[in-house]
Amino acid sequence: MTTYDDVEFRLRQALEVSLPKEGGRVLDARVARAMAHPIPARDLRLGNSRSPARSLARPLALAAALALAAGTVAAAVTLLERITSESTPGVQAAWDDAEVLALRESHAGVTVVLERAYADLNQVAVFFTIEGLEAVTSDAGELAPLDWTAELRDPAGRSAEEWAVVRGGTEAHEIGLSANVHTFGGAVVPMAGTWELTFTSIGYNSGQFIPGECDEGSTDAACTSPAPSAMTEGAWQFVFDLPEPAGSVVATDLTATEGDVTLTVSELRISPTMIAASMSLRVDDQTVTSWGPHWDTQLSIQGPAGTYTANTGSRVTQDPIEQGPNGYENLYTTSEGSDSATGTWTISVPQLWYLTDYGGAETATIVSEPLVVTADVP
Amino acid sequence: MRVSILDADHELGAVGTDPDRLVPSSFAPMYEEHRLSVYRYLRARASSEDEALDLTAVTFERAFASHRRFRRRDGGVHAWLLRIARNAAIDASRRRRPTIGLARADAQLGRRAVEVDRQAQQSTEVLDLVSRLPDDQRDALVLRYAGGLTSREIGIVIGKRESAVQKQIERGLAALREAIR
Repeated sequence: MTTYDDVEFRLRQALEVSLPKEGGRVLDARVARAMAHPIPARDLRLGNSRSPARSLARPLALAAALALAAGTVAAAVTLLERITSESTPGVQAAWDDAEVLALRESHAGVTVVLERAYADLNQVAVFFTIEGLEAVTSDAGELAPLDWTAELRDPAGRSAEEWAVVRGGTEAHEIGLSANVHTFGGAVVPMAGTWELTFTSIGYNSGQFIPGECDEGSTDAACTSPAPSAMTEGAWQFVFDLPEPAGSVVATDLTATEGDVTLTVSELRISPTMIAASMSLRVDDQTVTSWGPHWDTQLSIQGPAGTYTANTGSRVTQDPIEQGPNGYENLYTTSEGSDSATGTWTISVPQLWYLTDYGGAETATIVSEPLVVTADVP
Repeated sequence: MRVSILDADHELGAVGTDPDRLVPSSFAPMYEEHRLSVYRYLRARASSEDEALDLTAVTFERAFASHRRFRRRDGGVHAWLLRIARNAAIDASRRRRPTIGLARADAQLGRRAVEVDRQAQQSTEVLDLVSRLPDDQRDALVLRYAGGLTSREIGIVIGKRESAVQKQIERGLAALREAIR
């Protein structure tokens, strides 16, 4: 019989997790930087579709972060270069290999500069700054958050909203200047040709963001007297050409089986900024409704030049009933790429879980045996 | 790693003398003392380890930026930080998209595993059960057992009376006891 104390013990045991070693180091570096250079209240926002979250998934350049904390980074380093240097190896590679555009569009006193753009077979990255905005403050003296809305269209005219299932980026702000890196990735392969990036609204406090500090009934002045909406509507449009994207698409259709479970790696896309694996899971006589690597393990991709951890997973199969013959498909991506695809690639899933019986009482199953797929790329 | 301490001439302003206020020189020890409990609380609420780390950083960034709004009489630093953390988690859940933290997000959907081969699975099962509790009960339990707050402090964080918080904790534990039995 379970006693009261047992429940409390189990609850404590479940909740008393440790800080992950690497993640803890990155957290320390970021907080150290915040101590040395406190971020204005207007910038302390979480990401949304228009403004990507700062993610600690990316391995921050620890030394650079600590250098910033110590205030020793040369002033000549631009804000864009700074945030790029702190981003993932993939974003750094995109910055290095990007087309230098320096396209400038001004409207109503607000200037957007598209500094660089990049596309490979896995993702598109745009690097831009916004200048000319004067901070808006509330009666309480709080700075309003900077906000913007933009749309990216590929050479076929498709909006990134249609194909970019993996979105990311980072941003930094100083008075009168905002620097942004935004990435769009997904199952639709980026292509060479003319791209279009259009901003339609830029400013402060779009009115769609409700700070968590402002609970119902709050008497805080920042909540009772919020900053007024100060969005500038317009069209800051950039049309630019990108060359043939680098990378290789390897159609593998290789499988690994454990009992009634079959894992299929249908495609591997290897590019300088990312490695993406399209993977499906099928279970005999059952409908898989979701699956992923066990939360205590990591999906790894070992290539000729190193081993990469897939740190982002996206569902490709949106409706489990409409999944293909290989089962439920996910896309797993890394934050670092490879310049060369030639050689042997091994995708390992040490353990995985899956759910079955869509629409009914779903059941989770854990497959404890590793599933490994190897592909030779000539 | 140790976080460096700020000097008194830091741009946040001169160190104040009001004992009710936070001063920049207290940021580093404050972070050292509270980062684990803040992380544990956010790990229980976030969709992934990465998101929990991100929210932990956001919590301290917000705390440093708004330290002048802190009043010790409003519950102490620990409760203040967890209130900021809770608000950050609420913001994140409003904005969460399905592409991030897929494995953990699905793990938190609340399904029980039928094949158990690791002790860690037991913890996952408990967390699954907690995630099914009503919001008030879940919030109170996580603030108590991950954040380490007292009922009074939890009341300050979530805006309820101490007695109401205690009831939520008791109901939550009773529900867990019933589910686990």
